[in-house]
Amino acid sequence: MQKHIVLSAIGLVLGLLALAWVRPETPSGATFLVLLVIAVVNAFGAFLPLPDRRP
Amino acid sequence: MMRSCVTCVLLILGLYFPQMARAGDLGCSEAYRQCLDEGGEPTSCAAARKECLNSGNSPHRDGWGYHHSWRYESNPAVLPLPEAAPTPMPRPPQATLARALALRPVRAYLRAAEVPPPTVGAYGLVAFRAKPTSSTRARLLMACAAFTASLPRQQDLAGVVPTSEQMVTIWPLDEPDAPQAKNDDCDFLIDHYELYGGVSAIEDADRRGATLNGEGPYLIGWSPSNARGVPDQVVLVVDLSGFESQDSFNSAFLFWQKKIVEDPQLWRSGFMVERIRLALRDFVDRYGNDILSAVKIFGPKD
Repeated sequence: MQKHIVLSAIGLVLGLLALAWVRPETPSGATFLVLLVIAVVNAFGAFLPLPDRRP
Repeated sequence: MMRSCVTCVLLILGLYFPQMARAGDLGCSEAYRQCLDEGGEPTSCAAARKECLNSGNSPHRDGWGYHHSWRYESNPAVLPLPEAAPTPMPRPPQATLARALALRPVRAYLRAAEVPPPTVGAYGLVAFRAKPTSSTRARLLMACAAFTASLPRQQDLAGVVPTSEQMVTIWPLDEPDAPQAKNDDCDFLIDHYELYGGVSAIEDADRRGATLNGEGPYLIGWSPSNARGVPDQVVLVVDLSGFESQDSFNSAFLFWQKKIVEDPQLWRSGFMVERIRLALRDFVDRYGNDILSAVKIFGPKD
């Protein structure tokens, strides 16, 4: 659980960077882009051998 | 023995003759530049260079000025003749002169049979894969609007910029002289698009190694203008397949207008990243609305 919190935080930062680069024209496009990046980072992060300490 | 010696001499003369002719032109051009540097009027210097060339030296502009570059300054020793100016103008600095000699992007409507137009410096073509249908019409109209908005008409530059200094982007049209074409009526332009011109250009770019698997449209350019069909010549392709919005088409045409003419090598490495950005933007804009609407269906009701 903690791993996905960290991954989501990383995804949010990367999503904001992607937002600055892509510059979508619509607010829904911007929201979708950030959510997409968070989802992709979480999906890739699931395969990483990071310790997942339960709170 | 004697015969082989004569053959050798003829061979050597044959190999070096083009260089000798170019060396003569080099001398005329240097004299022209020296004349400018010494404060001479551009028109009188040009007349002197013309006389020099007429006295037996060939200009060789095509072989030198445009090969592997879309600018004259690829060989700074060869300067083109300026058009006869009605009034004497102040002498421009060398850097300004070189910049002024870069190819000028223009647009034109031509029949496929008239491509490539003679004497132009370089040319490009807006290539469709198919005539417009109800599903592709909107995108092709966007491409047309960007084409007409970002490039000046060739007729507008007539008498100002010689055709040899123009980079013409062609829209193949079966009736280029129709009044609707003169008015840049995009509905007319896409309905009367001459498909053979586009398809043959795509096939030619494919043969040169470009991979054009998308739905198009494409911007395809050749430099120099007689490079089409010649192996190892520069073929430039801008793939507009992933674009969905008018702004993306505008960006692509502005990129074509600005960067390609300045430096095709820069464009080759530079546009890929920009294309990914524009395609990604169109993707999130297109599907963002739908996905957020779908989320709202399952979310809290107002």
